[in-house]
Amino acid sequence: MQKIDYKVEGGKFLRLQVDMKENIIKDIKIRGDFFVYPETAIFKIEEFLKEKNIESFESLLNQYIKEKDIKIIGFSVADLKKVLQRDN
Amino acid sequence: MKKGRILETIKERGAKQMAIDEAMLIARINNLVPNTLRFFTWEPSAITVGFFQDLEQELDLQRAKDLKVDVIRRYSGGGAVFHEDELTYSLVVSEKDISLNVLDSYKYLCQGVIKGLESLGIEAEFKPINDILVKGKKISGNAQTRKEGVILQHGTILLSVNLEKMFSLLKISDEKLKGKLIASAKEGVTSIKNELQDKDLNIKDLKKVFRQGFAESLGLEFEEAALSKEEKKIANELYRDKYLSKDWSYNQKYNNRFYAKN
Repeated sequence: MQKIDYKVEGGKFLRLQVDMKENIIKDIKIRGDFFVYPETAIFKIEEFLKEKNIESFESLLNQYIKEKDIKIIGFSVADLKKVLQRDN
Repeated sequence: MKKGRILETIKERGAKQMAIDEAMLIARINNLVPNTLRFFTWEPSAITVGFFQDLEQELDLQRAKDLKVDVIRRYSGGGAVFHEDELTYSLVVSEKDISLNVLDSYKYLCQGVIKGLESLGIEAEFKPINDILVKGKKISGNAQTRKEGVILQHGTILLSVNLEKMFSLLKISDEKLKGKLIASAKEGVTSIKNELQDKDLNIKDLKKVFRQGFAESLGLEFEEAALSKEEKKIANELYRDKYLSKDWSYNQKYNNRFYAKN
């Protein structure tokens, strides 16, 4: 797993562990000092991201988060995309 | 005025304190207790990580062992916190009584600490997302979790700071970077003793001041109470099976039978 650390401007510290093949996320752990409500939703988000393309997951994940009524504080889906694109 | 409970101030291991916090949350969910405030201290010193942090990535676990510092994963998110000379509060309130989103509720619930500091003569302000600052320096960090209509918020009120010890427990591989971080934290962190130059503060008086701060800001009248029998039972179970367990500490895993859904 590749490790990526990223401080979100005005937000929290994202520490990702990620496996990517070309642009496809094979496995990802999203860790850091942020907040997610409910907390266990982070594992669902990680599961959701598997096999997704880093170029196209943003709107899908935003929709998923909205549907499941998940609240994230300290980073946004756009931040996540930016980090994954930058380090790929 | 609405009534709430204030519990006795307990000096205990961090794992026990986190278990008591969660037991209060569960008891509130089940309407066994009213909105509740308590203060506590840590014995021995401890370092906690937030729900979403990777324990091994954040902490020097061997160092913690050598220094006899307890290591605990909190239920709440947020960052790693070293707990030594501090007064910690925890607050359990129903979402019905505070209908604010998470960001706004941080600001609202932190007012209790800010009012308490003010009556000690320390002017403080809330800094989003979850900090309280004095003249730009952090004096209090706060974190909350929400379950089934109830908010648990806990936070630190620093009495003094030992940055060298704190940073020795964090995993920062680059020694030069560590030095820089300590230097900048010295500029960025303060404490009650720092601000008041008074080394003889006692916990009892501080507790009174912050109790009053929360009572005013929340519009609650606190009545002294002991932890209920049910809470003690739940706390003992969570202490033993959750907060002391490797599965929780390392992998965020615990199948909590006390909630309707996990």
